[in-house]
Amino acid sequence: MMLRIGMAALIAAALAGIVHAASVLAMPQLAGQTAYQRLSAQVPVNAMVPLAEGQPGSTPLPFEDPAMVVAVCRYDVGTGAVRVHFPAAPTLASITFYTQRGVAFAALTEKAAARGTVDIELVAQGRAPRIAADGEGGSAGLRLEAPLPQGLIVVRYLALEPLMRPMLRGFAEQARCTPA
Amino acid sequence: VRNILVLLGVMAIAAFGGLAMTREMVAGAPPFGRVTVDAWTVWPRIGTPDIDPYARAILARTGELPMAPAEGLLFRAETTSDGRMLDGRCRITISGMMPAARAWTLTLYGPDGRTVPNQAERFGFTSQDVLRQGDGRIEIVAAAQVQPGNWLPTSNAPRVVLMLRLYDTPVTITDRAPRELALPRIMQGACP
Repeated sequence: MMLRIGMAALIAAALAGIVHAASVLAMPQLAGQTAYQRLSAQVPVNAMVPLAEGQPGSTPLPFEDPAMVVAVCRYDVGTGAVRVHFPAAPTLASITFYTQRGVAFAALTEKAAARGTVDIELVAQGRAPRIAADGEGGSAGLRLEAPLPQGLIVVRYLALEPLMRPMLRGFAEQARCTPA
Repeated sequence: VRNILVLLGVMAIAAFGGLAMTREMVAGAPPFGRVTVDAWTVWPRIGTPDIDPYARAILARTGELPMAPAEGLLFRAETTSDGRMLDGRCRITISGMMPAARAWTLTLYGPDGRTVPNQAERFGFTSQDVLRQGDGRIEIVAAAQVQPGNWLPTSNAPRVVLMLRLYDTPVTITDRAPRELALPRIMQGACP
């Protein structure tokens, strides 16, 4: 009898471990609150949209830096590549690529800009043999592979003081994300 | 029949136990891959494809977008340097030298990740708009009442979280922080 109870407890513990591991791994797919989903109401697919200036409490993404002027693109490279245009501003700026589950897979700062902009072609995994500067057409273009077909591109400009915001908003409005 | 009942019982315990464990592990900050410096915690791999499954699950639940190492480092503090929970009804002092970085920001949030609304519309300080002492040290006071110097309003929020972001910093952290890395100390007093 004791042996049977012990066996049952062991099996229960092992199964609990499996349930735990499976639920942790499944959460990014099942959670309805990812950044990608939170932004889907206000950001159309394959278009760069500056986010509204953070009224406190209204920010769609938690723990964002309120000193940043932000533009977001919800990309879908499932049907073709997306061209991303990131104008460098005279301040600290960055462009970060996330999968729809919120994993950051690439990031660049404005220091990577050639002639004031960074232009990147984002393609689905397997469509680009390597990440390389392709130099075609005379522009310093980069090609990047997205691990999942959908995700977010976030462009951020640091406003070290509030007076810089209108100027940086102009840069955020010039950022682009368009189907190639 | 008894065997089937036992089997069902085992499966119910397993499902409940497994899900309870998951709930516990993803309830707060990511449980693994953290490096602490004073009151501050950093997750060096959270902004990379090497992020662990627990941190992934937590980000999916909160909707937070992590900071990539190319951008800089993010440190989070929920307690004072002596381990007390940060309480916006108290007077919280953040003081010391900031590590080398092209720029930094220090921001105050509620536990849900939203900035705390206040009349002064001040949610944090940056390396440019902070007032420095003669020796380059900074002192920021987070409190509900107006303070001289660098005042960060807390609007009496019972729990607050501080985030320090070092943008474009030469500081690198992999599995442990460099010994010489010093971050501002966080003290708390005058609680109601």
